[in-house]
Amino acid sequence: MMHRLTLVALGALFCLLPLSVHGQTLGEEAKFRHAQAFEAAGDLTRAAALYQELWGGDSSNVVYFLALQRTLLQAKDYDGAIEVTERQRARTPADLNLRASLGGVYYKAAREPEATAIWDGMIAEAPADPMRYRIVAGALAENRLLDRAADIYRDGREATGDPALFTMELAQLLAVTMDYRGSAREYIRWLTMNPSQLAFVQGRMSAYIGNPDARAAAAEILRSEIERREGPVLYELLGWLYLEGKEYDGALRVVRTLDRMTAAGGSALYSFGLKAFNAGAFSTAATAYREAIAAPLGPALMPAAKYAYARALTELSLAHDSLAGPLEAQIPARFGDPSQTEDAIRWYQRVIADYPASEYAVRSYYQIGLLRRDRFFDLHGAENAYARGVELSKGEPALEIEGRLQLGTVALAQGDTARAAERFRRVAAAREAVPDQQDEAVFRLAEIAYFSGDLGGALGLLRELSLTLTADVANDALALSTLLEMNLDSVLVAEVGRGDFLARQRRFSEAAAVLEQVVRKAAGQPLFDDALLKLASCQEAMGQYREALGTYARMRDDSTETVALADRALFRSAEVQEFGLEDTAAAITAYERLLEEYPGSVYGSLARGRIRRLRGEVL
Amino acid sequence: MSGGARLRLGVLVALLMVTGAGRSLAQAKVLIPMDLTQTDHLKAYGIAYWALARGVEVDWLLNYRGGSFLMDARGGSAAECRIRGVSFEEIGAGGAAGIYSEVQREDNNMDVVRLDKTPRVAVYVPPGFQPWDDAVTLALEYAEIPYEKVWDPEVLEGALARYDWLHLHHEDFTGQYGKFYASFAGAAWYQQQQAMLEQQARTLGYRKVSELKKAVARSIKEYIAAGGFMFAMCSATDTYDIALAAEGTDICAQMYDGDPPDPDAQARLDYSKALAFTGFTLEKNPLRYEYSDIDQPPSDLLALQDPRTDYFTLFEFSAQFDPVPTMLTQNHVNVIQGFLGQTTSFRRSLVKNTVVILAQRDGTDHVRYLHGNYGRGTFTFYAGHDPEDYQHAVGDPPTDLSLHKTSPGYRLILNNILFPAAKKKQQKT
Repeated sequence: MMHRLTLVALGALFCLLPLSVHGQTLGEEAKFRHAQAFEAAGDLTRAAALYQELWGGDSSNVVYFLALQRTLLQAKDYDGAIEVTERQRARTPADLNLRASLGGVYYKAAREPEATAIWDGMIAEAPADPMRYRIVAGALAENRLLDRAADIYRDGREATGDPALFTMELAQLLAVTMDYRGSAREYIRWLTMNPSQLAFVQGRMSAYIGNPDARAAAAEILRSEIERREGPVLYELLGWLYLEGKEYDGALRVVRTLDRMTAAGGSALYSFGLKAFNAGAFSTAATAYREAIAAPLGPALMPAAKYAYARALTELSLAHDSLAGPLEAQIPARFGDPSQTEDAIRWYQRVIADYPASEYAVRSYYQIGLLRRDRFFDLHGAENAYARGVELSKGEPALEIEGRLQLGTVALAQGDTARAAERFRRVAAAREAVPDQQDEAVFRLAEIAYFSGDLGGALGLLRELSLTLTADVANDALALSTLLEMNLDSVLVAEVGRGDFLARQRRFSEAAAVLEQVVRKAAGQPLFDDALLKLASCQEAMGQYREALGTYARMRDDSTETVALADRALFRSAEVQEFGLEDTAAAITAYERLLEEYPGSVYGSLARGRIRRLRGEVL
Repeated sequence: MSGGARLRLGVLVALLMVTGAGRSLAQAKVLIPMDLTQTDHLKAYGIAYWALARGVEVDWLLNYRGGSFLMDARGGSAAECRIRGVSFEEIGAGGAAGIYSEVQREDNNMDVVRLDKTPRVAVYVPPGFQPWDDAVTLALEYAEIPYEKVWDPEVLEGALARYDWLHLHHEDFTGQYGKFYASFAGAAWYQQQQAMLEQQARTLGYRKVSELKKAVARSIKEYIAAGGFMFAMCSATDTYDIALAAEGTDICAQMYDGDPPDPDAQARLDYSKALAFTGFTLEKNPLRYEYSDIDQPPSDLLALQDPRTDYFTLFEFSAQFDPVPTMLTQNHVNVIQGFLGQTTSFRRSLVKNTVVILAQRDGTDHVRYLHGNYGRGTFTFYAGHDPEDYQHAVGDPPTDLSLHKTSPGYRLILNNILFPAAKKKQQKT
């Protein structure tokens, strides 16, 4: 019997145990839930009253205290919040977090001197305790006193004699307050202590280095830090900053140093050269490649680097701002220094000599061919280069076909239609040719037919091409086919074709003579305007700008049958004034005339933009 | 034309010939139509501004062919129209006289407003502002109308007195940082913006950003009272009025100003201090992307809006008796595609009855565009963020106005810019 009673008592005690472990009775729990419900509903007065009761009944219960404090603060009853917090503090004087939060309550109550006294007092009691600085700074940051929080961190660092203390906290805090110099300084300190954390630091700094001022500030600090102590990781960070800001020259200086410091043997320079080249910074890319080659690079990368260097020189020699140049007038492009082209060619020849059986050699031959043809119109030299490239590329169909296509264009420029046609036919029939190559070959064959007077044959080839509107040559094919279809009955079209062929061979004076004949005979025909346009193109190519202007004027004045090309003539006149004769006022007048006489012209918006640019208006 | 009309026309021409206007009438004129024939309505406003800047008087022909402009052909107006791609017609003195006669007929709801000066335009924008963030500056940039930027220090120093027209960028005058906290509290731009504003507030002597913004709102109100014109869009509309009404209370939650809001904030609002709205209820949830019940539909229900059915209608006013609302509603269409914003439209029941409603969504109580007077000045509120971007989000690319040259929504913005250039005229009695 006694044994059973004991068991029952023990069982009852066991059931009641969870309630006493939580320190709440059932009544308290219900009251607490009520208080929470009042608080959630915004009835802060009743919520506070309930919390006050609960806490009064069990002042050791931190949950009750925090709920009461929170509710009083929500209700902006700062005096009440101060009172309860002071009482709690008196119970637990060693609780630093509580003291710091008391300071926060005073601050919210606009009693800043008391708040400051509490926070300063916490520090003064144990000036060498990092924890106190952390807690106080946290309270300050919570109350948006960010600058003071940063000061506390700095004071803590100084007081403890630990220069590495609070680095990350300061870095983040200063970034938020836009003290980018300060933030960069801290991140650098961190990085110096943890060199493997470069990616982490870059990720953090990414939050603000999109801002040019922030980036410049960070770079300035980094540079001064590098002056004090070198370190590869600092250079990597600086190089990254420059690249983010697209300051390639600055980045190159850094990469140069990094390459040396890390004994990369030029590979860092080469990698950087690729980035710069792809970004269009050809001059910087060329320098980087040159230095990589001189390092010297290892054999695995050297061929690529030499070829890349030659490519950079090519881009420099051919570069001109196509956006600011003529779009229609055939004014010769303003190339770079011809000696740069010669340099490029020499480098391609070195690549060929050093790596004769490689793909780089083939591509070098092709580049030489391109430069000789387009830059110097040295067709013989171009042909030799392409031919050697083709020879070397046997077994690489894609490369070979590319070379054959270019050989065809050279033959055409030389006036040898038979050889050109044979080469283009091989490309058009090649199974390995890509669609663009086949389309171009077919177009060139159509041109040859047109040049030779076989207009029907030309049209037959062009019709197919015109259906593929996404082809690169589609526009040219459409233009030629329109010319032929509109003038199918005219015997003069063949003459125009002859003129075009001469112009293709850059025999502009002979071409002009042929076209002049056509113009004299074609008055009143649709061909008249086309012939005049082509004549003007020849005159522009020969630098006879005033004669070209006269030709365009004839288009406007003498054309009675059609004004289809009149606005184009006016636009090209304006371009001749602007880019040929470099007469800004006359160019503006011509563009304005276009707008006035042909308000619906497709050249209207181009003309407007040119006028604004010539007037110096930045839009 | 009847005999009587011919006689009236002749008398009008004779009268005009002996007055100053006659001098200009005798010259060729450039008419910039603003109806559907116009190729670039937005740049047309820029041409009007350009002409005014060169001392050419411009007549705004209210309700004539969509609110056209008529100016002397001297000074290269025609050439400039061509260069900017604005279509125009060159008309002689007789043609101009005919137009004036038509516009000033009693039975036509039309009138002539002479524009005689270029308004000095200021835009209230924070540092680091990019013009493509804001529809008004986009319009100003596209129309090539110059403007200057002002911010809190300039406003508090009284610099607004130098300007005729003030635009409020999509600023949150309640000091709640656009209520982006819920979505962007962790974003670097949000944190930096908050830190920058807090620093600014302290520098200017305010403990909180909300207090600073209230002071700025009051300064702007004084500027209006002294005769200024204020134009606000999107959240700058309702937050401005809320800030004025909340002068004596704290409506900001802890994450915005470091302390909780006043529990009695709603009861302490003083609607008499607001310009356009009254009786509104604050949105107390700090995590909700909404300020009050002025805005509708609520910002968290915008996904339910269908752009295919979202349009609003411009109201028609008497050009002769209500020239100001007429100027503000000039357009080539009167039903305009709607567009969303943090403040998409105003609840009609909360609009003060002293305010003129200029446009509303038919069949609803959604007011899109309103105008009112305060003191010697006026204010206009235009709801929505970007008339040609139905739902613009943070980080979205800017609108390219060259693709929206005839935007009726943007025309309403530009009407407001030219309106201060109008010569004040005697009201007809």
